[in-house]
Amino acid sequence: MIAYTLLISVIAITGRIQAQNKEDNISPQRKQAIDSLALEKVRDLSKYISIIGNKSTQWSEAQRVIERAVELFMDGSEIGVSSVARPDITNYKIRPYFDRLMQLNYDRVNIEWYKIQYVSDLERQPDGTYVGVITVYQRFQGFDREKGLVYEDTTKKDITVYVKRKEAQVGGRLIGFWDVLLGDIRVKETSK
Amino acid sequence: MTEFVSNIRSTRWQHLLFILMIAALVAGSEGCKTTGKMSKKERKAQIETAKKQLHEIINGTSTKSLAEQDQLVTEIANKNYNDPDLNHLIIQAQEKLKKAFANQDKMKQQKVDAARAELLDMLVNKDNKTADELETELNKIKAQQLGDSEIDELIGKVEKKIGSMRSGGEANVPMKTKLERSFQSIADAGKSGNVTQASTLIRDILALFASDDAPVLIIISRDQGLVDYDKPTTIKRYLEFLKDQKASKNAVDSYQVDNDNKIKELELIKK
Repeated sequence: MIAYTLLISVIAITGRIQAQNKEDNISPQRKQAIDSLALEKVRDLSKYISIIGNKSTQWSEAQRVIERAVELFMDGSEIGVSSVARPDITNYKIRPYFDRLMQLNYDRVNIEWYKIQYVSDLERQPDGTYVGVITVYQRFQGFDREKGLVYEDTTKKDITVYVKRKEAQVGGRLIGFWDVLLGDIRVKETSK
Repeated sequence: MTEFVSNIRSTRWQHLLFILMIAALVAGSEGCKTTGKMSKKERKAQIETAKKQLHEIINGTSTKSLAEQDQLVTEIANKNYNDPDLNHLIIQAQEKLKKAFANQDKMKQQKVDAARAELLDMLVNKDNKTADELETELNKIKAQQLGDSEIDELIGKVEKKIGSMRSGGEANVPMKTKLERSFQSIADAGKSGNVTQASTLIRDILALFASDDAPVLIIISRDQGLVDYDKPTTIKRYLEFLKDQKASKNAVDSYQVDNDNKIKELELIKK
């Protein structure tokens, strides 16, 4: 009986180790797909920011987009805001940042993100989460109806990304998916 | 009264007696036939024949259909030969037939399941087949004569689909193409800032789905049998996502429909 129990335990442990190894040793193709997925989420965020900041976006539509944008972030994350007019950087929690973005005191706003790329590749952490840093450049332009362009800056921002494999029950079957969450967005440089 | 007595006296009693005797003889001979006992020799022969028939059933060499075999076993059992060997064979044959019927049911169910899957694929025209190709496939299924109400209903729907494909129009466009075109149209409407048009397109395409919450899975990688997905979403959210992102970057990989031919699950793959 003891031998039988031991055998079952060994089989179970071996199975778990094999499953763990399978997750640990992801092929370059799979890793590339995960890297691209995380980059894609940052690009998604850039579009959301553009919609939220756009003065012609209806309030209800902006609220819906804010919800989608908030879902991209880990709880408690912050976004840094800078200005060429002052040296200090203010860090906002995610939702207040978007609310503020929606209410910026310009008649028209253009926000564009470009050069979205990894500065630190996704690396596997002991808990299985992959963590990396993606850098983006943001061009911000604020317009006044009469004066035209009244403010513009370019900010380099670093975004920490967390990617973790999770499972979900969909249509009666268990599927494995990669959950990408964005962490803090830190301002690295601001220039005119 | 005198007349009545005269009538009785005039009756030909000899004739009446003769007729009664003939009738008694006939009745007597018929009675012997039904109640007469079987000779030992006859009984033995019948038991041997029954044993032979039961052996054929048990060994699976009987040429009769399962229903006929079942009827035969019942008939043999009802004759109550009271022969221990024969009784044992009857039990064996009954068990054999029970298993055979269960197997038959199982095989039929497998055929029904396969036909259902094929018909559902045909309904969504997964492989972009022509009306003629679909009809050829449909005829193969019909030829199986499965006698299942659900299959009959699906056959009717596929016939209707083939009919509408032949009559041309939007129904002729495969679902995969229809979905991908709609996704692109939503993205284009988003890009041009036409929120009303995007909303109309979203509403129209949602009508193809079983619900707004129909799951949408996006495959990001398929490598050595391993499939990696993005976080699952719902069709409504996905369509809004297309509008927001102003681009459609995923192709339709597969989808499942319910009995009403509405999409209940959609799988996309990165282009």
